[in-house]
Amino acid sequence: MLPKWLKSNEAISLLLFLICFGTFSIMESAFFSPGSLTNLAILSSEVGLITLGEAILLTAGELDLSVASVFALSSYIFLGLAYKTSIPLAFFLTLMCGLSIGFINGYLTVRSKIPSFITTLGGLILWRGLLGALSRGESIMYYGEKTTLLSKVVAGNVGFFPSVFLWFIGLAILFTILLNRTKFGNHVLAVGANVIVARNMGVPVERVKILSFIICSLMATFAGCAYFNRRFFSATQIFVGGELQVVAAAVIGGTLLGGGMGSMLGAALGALTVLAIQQGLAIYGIPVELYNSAVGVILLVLAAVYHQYRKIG
Amino acid sequence: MEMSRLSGLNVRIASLWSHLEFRVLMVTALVVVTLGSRSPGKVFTEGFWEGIFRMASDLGFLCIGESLLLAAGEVDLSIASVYAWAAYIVLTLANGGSPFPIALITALVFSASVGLVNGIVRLKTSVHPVIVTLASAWGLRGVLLTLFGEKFSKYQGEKSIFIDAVTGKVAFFPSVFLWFIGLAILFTILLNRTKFGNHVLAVGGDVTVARNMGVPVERVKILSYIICSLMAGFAGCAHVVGAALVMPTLGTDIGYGFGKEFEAICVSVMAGTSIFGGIASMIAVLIASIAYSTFRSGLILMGLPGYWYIPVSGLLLIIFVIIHQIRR
Repeated sequence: MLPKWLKSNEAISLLLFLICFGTFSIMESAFFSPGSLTNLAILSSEVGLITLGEAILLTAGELDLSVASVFALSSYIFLGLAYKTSIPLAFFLTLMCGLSIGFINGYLTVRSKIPSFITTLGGLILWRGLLGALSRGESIMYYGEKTTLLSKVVAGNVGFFPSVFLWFIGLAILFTILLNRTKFGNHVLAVGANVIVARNMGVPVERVKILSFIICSLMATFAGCAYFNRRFFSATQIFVGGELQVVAAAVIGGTLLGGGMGSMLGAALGALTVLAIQQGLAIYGIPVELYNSAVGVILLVLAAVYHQYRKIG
Repeated sequence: MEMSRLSGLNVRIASLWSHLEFRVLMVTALVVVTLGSRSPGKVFTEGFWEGIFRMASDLGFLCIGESLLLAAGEVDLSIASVYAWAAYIVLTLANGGSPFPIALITALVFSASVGLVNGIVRLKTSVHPVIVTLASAWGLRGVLLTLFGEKFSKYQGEKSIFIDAVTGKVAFFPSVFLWFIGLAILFTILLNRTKFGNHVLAVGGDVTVARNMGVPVERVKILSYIICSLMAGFAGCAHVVGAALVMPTLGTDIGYGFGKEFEAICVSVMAGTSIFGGIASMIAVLIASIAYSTFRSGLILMGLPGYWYIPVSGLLLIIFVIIHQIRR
């Protein structure tokens, strides 16, 4: 028999990550070069920040399909506000927009009892569509001040590490504590596992779900701001299809679709795995379009396997 | 006397209003009248309506399939990818010299098998249909983009009866629109007058009750997935033979990464199809497709740039879902 810790979600996702990472490192020396690793750290941090929020929401038994659209839209909002106000204020207001979007998603889902996949599907179309309409489908470059305190804090370097990676690690730890050591986390798990039991036990189901929606959108907005402060442009095509990657990363990390079980460290490792696959395929010259196909297949296989695993116990 | 006649009229309007089709028709009329009053010179022309009917049919085939699947309590986001795949299968085979019927049958068999796989994966794993079909949507699209890259293609195969039958015109109507009407009627009969349709509505309404009554739930749902994909494949074939040029991004709005699957869900919801399953009217879908297409063209006529229809559809989807939810 395997020891218990080996069967945990974190161990399985760590194993998956090491397999992907190890295979690519051995097969292709370019994958293990400093430039490539830094790139991997930055990209997986941006996707990973969104994944942490999505994993909380999935654990609460809901789903947000609009994260990639919110991520893309936040770059446009930040750009527009950065011209009109100061950078810190722009950052704050962009986060507030994300918070409001999360609240709208949550409120609609909880109050009108519409399934979250429909409300956030509407959001997916609406927010990216709005971005396309406002930017007229063109890329917009930012010509304002680029080296600011904020850009150093969210997109600079601390020693050898990109600072967004440190944010990612820090928030992964914070979210782990949030989920496993606080009352709110306890409520999230309870609501996701069985909403009726949770309600009977006095858990404020509506509030917990709306808060999870807010956290999810807020993380997507934060990641969008980090992305903007690295690339300094806004375009409709940013992170198209990203919701698939984010859900796949969460599922690789052992979060159950359907709720009640989630691991934040697992989600972080899941994001690293998904991006390692992207980076590895890119080095082999495999077209980026096939990457989304690969992510789709991985997602389906893992979701099916984990579902079976839960049924057994 | 006067009062009773008035209340009689009220009752008649109320009973008419209780019909889904009537409400959708009223919304359509409202859209047309609003548009017509703003730019009558552009709206009341034959060319405008031919365009609307073509657009409505192209989307409508997908909506019929999606509505059937929604009625069975499931949803499919991979239809735009199936649409593009079917179009490219027909195009590649026919341009390569195969007879058209063989190309068409291959495309339809492929579409049906995608539906079969979606249905089996969804029902055997119990993973949410949105996740399953989102994964297969990106899976299929990725392979298509890799195979054909960013180049344009054009159908250059043989001219067969089918092509004349979908690209031609019968009197005032484009013939593809007559196909759409025919299929809407066929699906109305299928849904309301056959055992299968009865099962679809039962399964979508309450799956436990349906199972206890002896409905083969899994088979009905998988068949609905197959029909949904088949309609998408048919739409792709009908589109490509008449289209000037196509790209592997066919069926999506370039840059957004999504397109017809969302429009189909939006129209289905406008047509009163319940996202919880158990309710659908194909005649309402027919009318809603025309309403949506008129509305989409209308936005451009009103001077809004073409990009705006996407966010507006997203907003429409949410608004209509809420309206139907309140009515429940």
